[in-house]
Parts: sequence; C-alpha cells; structure tokens
Amino acid sequence: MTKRAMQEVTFLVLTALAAGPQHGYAILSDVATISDGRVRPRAGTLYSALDRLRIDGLVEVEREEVVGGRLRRYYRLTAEGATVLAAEAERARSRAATAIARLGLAGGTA
Amino acid sequence: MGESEALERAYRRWLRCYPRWFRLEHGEEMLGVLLAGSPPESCALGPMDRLDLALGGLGVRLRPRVPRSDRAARLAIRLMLLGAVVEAALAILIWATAGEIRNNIAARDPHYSTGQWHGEMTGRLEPLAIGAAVFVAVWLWMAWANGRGRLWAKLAFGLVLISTTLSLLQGLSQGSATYAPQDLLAGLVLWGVELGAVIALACSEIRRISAARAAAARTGSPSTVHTEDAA
Repeated sequence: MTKRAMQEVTFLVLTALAAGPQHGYAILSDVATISDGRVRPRAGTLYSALDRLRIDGLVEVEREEVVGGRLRRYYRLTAEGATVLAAEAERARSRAATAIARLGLAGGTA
Repeated sequence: MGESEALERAYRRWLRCYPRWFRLEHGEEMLGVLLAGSPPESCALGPMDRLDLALGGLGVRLRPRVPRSDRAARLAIRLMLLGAVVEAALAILIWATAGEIRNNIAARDPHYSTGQWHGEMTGRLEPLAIGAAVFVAVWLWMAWANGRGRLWAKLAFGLVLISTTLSLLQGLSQGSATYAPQDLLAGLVLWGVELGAVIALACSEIRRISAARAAAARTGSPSTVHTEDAA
C-alpha cells in the first residue's frame, strides 16, 4: 500500500519541533529558517497543520503560559511524531540520493 | 494604540471563520501569533491573511477529526463521499437525459402527448432526481458527522442501510416491478457502498472498544468506553 507523501509544511513543522518544544510564533520563524525563507506559513496554515498533527497524535501541548496578557502554548513532538518524522526524513534522503546519483552530482562534481 | 486595537478587532472578526469550540481553545493563542507577525503600524489584514484564515476555518469545520491511524473509519468516510458522488451523478444523469427519454418515447409512440410527458416528469423523473439530490445531502452530512466520531451518526448510517436494504428487497420481491434494470443496478451499487461503509464503521468501533479495554486493563482501572464527541 502506498503512503501519501507528507505535505512540506507538515514536515517543516515537525522538524521545527524536533529540536524541542516551541510556541506558535517560534514555530513559524523556525519553519522559515529551516526552509531558507522559501516556506513562510501564515497563522491559519500553521494552526491547521497543528490541529491535524494533534488529531494524529504526532504533536501535543507541552505547557501554556501567559506572556503580555496573551496565551502562549508550547507544542512538542510525541514519540510517534518522532518516528513518523524520522521515516519521512529517510524517504526524503533516499529520494535525494537517487536524484543526485542519476544527475552524476555525487562527490560535488557538478 | 488605535491602530493596534483596530488590527486586533479585524483579526478577531476573521477568526470567526473558525468554529466556536476551536476559537475557545486556540483563538487567543492564534491572535497572539497573528499580532506578533503583523507588520508594524498596520491596522488591517492583507488579502492573503484573510484567505489563509478563511481556508483554515473551512478546513477545521469540514476536515474529519479521525486520526489517520483509524483507517477503517477513514475508509467509511471516503465511501460516504463516494456515495454522494454516485448519487449526484445519478441526479445529473436523470436531468441530462430527460429530453432524450422524451424523444425515444415519442419515436415509439407518435400519439404521445405533452400532457403524458408532463405526467412522466412530475410523477417519476422529478421525484427520482429530487430524491437523489436529497440523498447527496444525506451522504455528505453522514460523512461530516462520522468524521467527528459521533455515535449517533454511526447509528443513523446503520438505519440508512437498513432502510435501503428493505426498499431493495421490497422491489425485488415484486419481481423488480418498481425498478427498471438501470435503477436496480444504481440501487445495488449504492447499497454496496453503504454496506462497505457500515462494515468499516463497525470495524473501527470494535477496534476502539478493544483498545480502550486493553488500556483499562493495563492501568487496572475499570473499562469505561465512551465515544469521542468533538466539542
């Protein structure tokens, strides 16, 4: 059975949380950094992704705090989330390795 | 200060795209993120921000809240959506081929009158098309409600299957007098989709109850199984 590829934003959100728990705005900033500014999700996109990931049990709320009168919620990767991210990263590495090999770019001799 | 308040009001207005329960849980948190990410001195949302919140809200309202790991429940929802597509195709087919049916009847019977055709339309084709359109809404509603894990939706869909089965059996017991072969085929296809969805829902429920009992046995607490009802 073929597995549907993970959306890029979802992959980047999980990658951001792999380093440790983060709140919403920090995740947005980290996603932009990880993707070299190529992917800049907006709040609606981020919370849609977090909602899906929470339903699937891949992320969970670690803690909440109030900063400047506003609620800040920290999210963290669950064990299942780490497993799924590792599998997706391995798939991405395998695909990239194949592409590099077929282009004859191995060893940086492009 | 005025600009900041105006922006906050605008964000709050657009956050209404999300269902109330979601706003209660995430509204203030999202507002904080939106304000933190807004350009300085802006007092209104850009079109892309509006689109992002509108689509996000729509997604939360419509997307199934069943985990991907519950493949049986997800299959049941897909089958219900397939049922809606088949039913919609039938409704469109009935309307689209009405003229052709009339021409065929007129070709076979030159005395076929406009009044007879009107009777055929109002007595048979229109109820069929309207019935199909109503069932499209029922399929979509069932897919949405079952996507929320609602127990009543599972029971209601079971009743839909029972009703379809009885209707089919009644038609067949009358020597298919009430069904044209095409109607019977369409009815059987839809019945098969319904049966598949009910079996998938039952599998999902059995797995959920087994998992809850196993978890209760591990923790040593009495097994209390309750259906997830989205807030």
